[in-house]
Amino acid sequence: MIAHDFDYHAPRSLADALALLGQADAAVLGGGTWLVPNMTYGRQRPSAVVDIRRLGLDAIEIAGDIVVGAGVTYRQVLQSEALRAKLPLLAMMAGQVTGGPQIVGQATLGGSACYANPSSDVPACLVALDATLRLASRTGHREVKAADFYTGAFQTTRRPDEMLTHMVFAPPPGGAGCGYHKLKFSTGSWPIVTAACIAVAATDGGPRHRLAVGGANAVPVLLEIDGRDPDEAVAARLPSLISQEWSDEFAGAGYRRQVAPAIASRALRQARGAR
Amino acid sequence: MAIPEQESAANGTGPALSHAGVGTAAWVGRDIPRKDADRFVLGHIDYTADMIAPGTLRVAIVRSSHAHARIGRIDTAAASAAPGVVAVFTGADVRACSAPMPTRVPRERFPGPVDIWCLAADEVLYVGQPIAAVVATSLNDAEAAKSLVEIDYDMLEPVLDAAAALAPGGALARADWPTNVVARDTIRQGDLDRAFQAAFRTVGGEISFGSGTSAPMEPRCYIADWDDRASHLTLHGTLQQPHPTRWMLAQVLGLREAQIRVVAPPAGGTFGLKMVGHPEEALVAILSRELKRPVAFLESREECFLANAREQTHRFEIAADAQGRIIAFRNTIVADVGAIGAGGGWVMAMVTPTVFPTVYDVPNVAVDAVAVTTNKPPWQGIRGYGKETANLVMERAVELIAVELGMSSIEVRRRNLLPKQAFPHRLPSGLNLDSGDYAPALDQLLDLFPLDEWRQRQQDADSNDKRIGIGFAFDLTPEGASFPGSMQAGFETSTVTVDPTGTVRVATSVTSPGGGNETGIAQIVADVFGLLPDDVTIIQGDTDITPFGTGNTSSRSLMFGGAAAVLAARELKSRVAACAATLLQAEPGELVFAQGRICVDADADRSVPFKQAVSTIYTHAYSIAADIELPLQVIKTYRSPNIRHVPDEFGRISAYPSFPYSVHAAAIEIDVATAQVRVLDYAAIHDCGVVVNPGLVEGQFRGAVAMGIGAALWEELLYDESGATRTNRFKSYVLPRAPDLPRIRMGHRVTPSPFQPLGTKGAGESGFGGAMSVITNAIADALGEHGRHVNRVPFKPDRLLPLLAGALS
Amino acid sequence: MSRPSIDLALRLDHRDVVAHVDGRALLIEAIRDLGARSARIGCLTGDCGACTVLLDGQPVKSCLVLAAAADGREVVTLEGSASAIAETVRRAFIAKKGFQCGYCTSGMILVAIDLLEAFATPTEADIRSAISGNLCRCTGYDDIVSAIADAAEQLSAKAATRESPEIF
Repeated sequence: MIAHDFDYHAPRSLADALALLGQADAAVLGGGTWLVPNMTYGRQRPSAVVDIRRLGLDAIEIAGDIVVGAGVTYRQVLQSEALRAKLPLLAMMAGQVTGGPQIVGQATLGGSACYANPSSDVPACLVALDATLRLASRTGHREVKAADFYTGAFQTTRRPDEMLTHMVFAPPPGGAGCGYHKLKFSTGSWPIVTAACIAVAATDGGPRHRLAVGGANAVPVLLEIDGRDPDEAVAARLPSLISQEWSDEFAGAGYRRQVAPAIASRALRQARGAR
Repeated sequence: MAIPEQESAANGTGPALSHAGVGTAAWVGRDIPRKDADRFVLGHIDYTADMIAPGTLRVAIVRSSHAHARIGRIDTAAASAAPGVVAVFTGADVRACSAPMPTRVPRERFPGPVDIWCLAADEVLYVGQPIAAVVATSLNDAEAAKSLVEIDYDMLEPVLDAAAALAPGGALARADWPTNVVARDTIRQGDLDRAFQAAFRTVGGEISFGSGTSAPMEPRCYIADWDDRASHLTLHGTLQQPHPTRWMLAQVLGLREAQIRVVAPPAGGTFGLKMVGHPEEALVAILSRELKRPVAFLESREECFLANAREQTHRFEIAADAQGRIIAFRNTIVADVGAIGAGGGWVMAMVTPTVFPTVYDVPNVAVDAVAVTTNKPPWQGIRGYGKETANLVMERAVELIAVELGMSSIEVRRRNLLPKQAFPHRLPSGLNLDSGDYAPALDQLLDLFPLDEWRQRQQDADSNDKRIGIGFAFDLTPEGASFPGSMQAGFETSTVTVDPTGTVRVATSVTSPGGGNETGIAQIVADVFGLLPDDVTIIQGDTDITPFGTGNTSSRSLMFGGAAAVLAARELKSRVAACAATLLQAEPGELVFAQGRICVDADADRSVPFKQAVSTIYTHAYSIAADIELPLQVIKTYRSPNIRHVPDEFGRISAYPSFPYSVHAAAIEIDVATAQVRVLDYAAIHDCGVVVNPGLVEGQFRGAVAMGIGAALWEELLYDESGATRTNRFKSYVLPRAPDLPRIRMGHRVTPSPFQPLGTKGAGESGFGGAMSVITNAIADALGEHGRHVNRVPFKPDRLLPLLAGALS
Repeated sequence: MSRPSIDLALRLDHRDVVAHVDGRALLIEAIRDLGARSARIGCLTGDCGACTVLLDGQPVKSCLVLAAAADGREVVTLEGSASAIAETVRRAFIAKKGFQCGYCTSGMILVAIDLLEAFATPTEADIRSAISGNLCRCTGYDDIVSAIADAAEQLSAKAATRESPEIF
């Protein structure tokens, strides 16, 4: 039950969509899993809703770089054999999304990326994969690295008149391993801490790990760790990187900082083992 | 013949489902499908919200944003002028046209005035309390106009926890009460001081419980339709207690009961939430009468999370002799029952002390309980109804004393369980346990739960990675509540009619929360007449059709409503038998009713169809049936002989007649790094006396166990520093989902109640407390010697992690 | 004074319907107003799954969909679900007592049908995962899981013996 009035638009061209977004107080509608309940409970009251479903942003293109449309759902990720082969981390993450087959089919990667809920799976995964986010507006296009996109809980560098159109990934080098580990207390809770890791073989002294931890902090925490035994480095460096520790109804202050290294180590182990 | 005229205290009979003492039941004991099952799976059941007719006005409620304040000026002008809005009502408007809502217990039992209006008129007592009602032609418009209602508040100091409520000279949660103490109870048996002095070992502890809520899938909904020309109100609603709701409405509206019809359509789960006394029940009725139009309220899920319950702290001490006999137990309970509303949820805090020392034979017992009111939302009824916390505390105490004694807790339980021959047994509170056979249930559980295997896995587990914990717990769940002086009247009524074509109608005061009691009642009535359950129609939830009774609370449906139906059916059967005896030229006592026929006992050739005998009665009123009372309709009320409202020599009453019990075992795993808990295995033995439909009882029990696991691990209502509910959706108040639970293996025992005509006991709530307790004990077990420090339910990982660290150091 | 309404054309349970609905309406609200009441409102936050319907063949939580966004699309609720798999699942829910109050049942059955259409031999873990977006407060899920497993077995047995499906 939505109380406030709004105009619904489902434009057929990106230009039309961007023109609408240029108006004050318009919201982008992806899968609806965030925006619609927020409108129902009066937490967001946009005067216009711009539905992206007719914009063709639901494609996965693999030609050199991997380009994932903002409207791609978790189910599409899981169903794309090519994506599973090229970006297994993304598929691992999508495979652990809860909410049932309905949410897996409704929620979009782009929506989760932009909503920037500290507890969501997607942001840290994008950071680990060093994704580039393509943002479009009436006035032009720009690209932002995922690590630079997140500025706070539920906050990104996306301006209100901008729309995320694509997430671009460079394929990890051959032989790279990946790991994804998520702590959740029960199926229905938000993720508490997530860890996404890419491990790349290096010639000198063991693998290089690119590790992003989600859930623990207002924004994803990125660590780059070299060496054969990175657990010690994680334990030493990660807690201090959690400068804006996230807490919620499930776990209070201090908990996430305390458990994050263990979750990170599990993803690291998986990434090395899977290599 | 299915049901004996006299029930004896039959024996518990081991693992198989057995119904000793029930005779040659054709349907009792059979796992038949639900009545109307096809309508459920086709989506054809209409719940209350499905009955909101087009054109019905919708109400949105402006709720207090402050925990404690005086309401100043309310400006409704802007809201009244908003699109679609028909009217805006405030507390003053309600006061002008109605009377306060009657409270669950008589008002003079409270320490101060309790004028409860469905919209707060002067003082608001919690965040979320209704202050104004916006009525509009659509719910969207009503909700949209809510923000236009301007309310001035004069802040009062809120009382937000029990410690503040009890602090000498502290703030008062209700400005016009002299105290925050709502009620106290003191239970004494034996000589505690002497027992503790003489004890071989003693140990104490503290357990506190967070707030919980029932969260049925169907939110509350009420639809009032005032017919001004007939001066008659019809209320459809998500109501467990249609007759008490009519009683409440008659007083609020100043109407005779005959002017009010209350209908309770099928309910989408209740679990205590939908008992009488919610402000919106009265509100829609007032609005409909004032506006002369139908008005509906549909609760949002966020509003549903305003239902509070269970927050309490126990400090206990237990003593045992050198043989492991528990000789004394004492406990002090402080419950924060939130604000006092018209409903009876807070009464749960006064049920908890009555359950001690549960299934154990303890000679010296002292329990002191105090319930304090605060500026949190009122308690609403919830499965367990206070009994679950008593069980958990008792089961923790047994575990702790076992450690002190150096004995296994299973052995300590065995040495202290009430023996079968001890029943009926009077608890220190006065509750009279009807029957039980506890120790064999424990043996049966050990057949179902591979304890040795789990102990081995526990030893083999890498204690730096995962720790396995194994728990046991008994659960005693008093059922069939009947509180003197309250509309929890404690009797139920059924009207049984045999219609001219030979089909049977049962109109009963008990409603169905969705557990299937209609199917069970049809089974027991079918057995009386030798008919099929399909020949028996059950009518529930309509005060114009169903006779007076409490409704559905406290697992009373079969125990009371079913018993009343059986008593009525037996009388009707004797009338039909009289006619059949004439037709068959036999004595009524020789007749057997089976498979739709009435036969002379030993002679299969001498029989008449049941339908023919009934038809004969209806059509031969001046000849064959001249001496048979017509119509074939009997109304009977069932009152339990095991309820006693006349105080005994110690001033104790007994408000519960029936005592199902269960014993549970669980294995859990704790992730050492995170304190995340996973339930690996679960088994339980349940005994609710004679089982009418095993599938229904098992389903209810498994549901209770799932809810208990949820309450032990994940479910907790949280409030912020202003007293507002932080956990307001299913993403923050987390219910168990299918992947979170192991398969729950269960076995039955059957120890009939000697006090109930069918030998049944309540089923539905039973098992909830046992599940909470067994998870608690399993977690404590996983923590090793630090397990003694577990002291807070639910066991959220951020609270467990420090204990776990201690356990490893 | 009334709010702006929108024209909505839907194929709802195999019927073409055209309606004026409140522009603010959620899909669950619109289809219930159009008579498809077997889809239930439980939370309106996408958590409980009681409002599950098939939208263009995919199971969705219809409280997360704006009615306007469903214009021109096909919606199937439990009442419109009538395949052989659907009937087998329905019978299994009755036989195994896969419901108590029934409020979650429409969503549970639709999700079960969707699972079995995609995957004939699910494990218990698969079944629990498939219904993980649907809350049930009555059963503790065991009887629902049993019902779906039972339906899967019956369908496999039928496929093996090439029996023609019975119609409910």
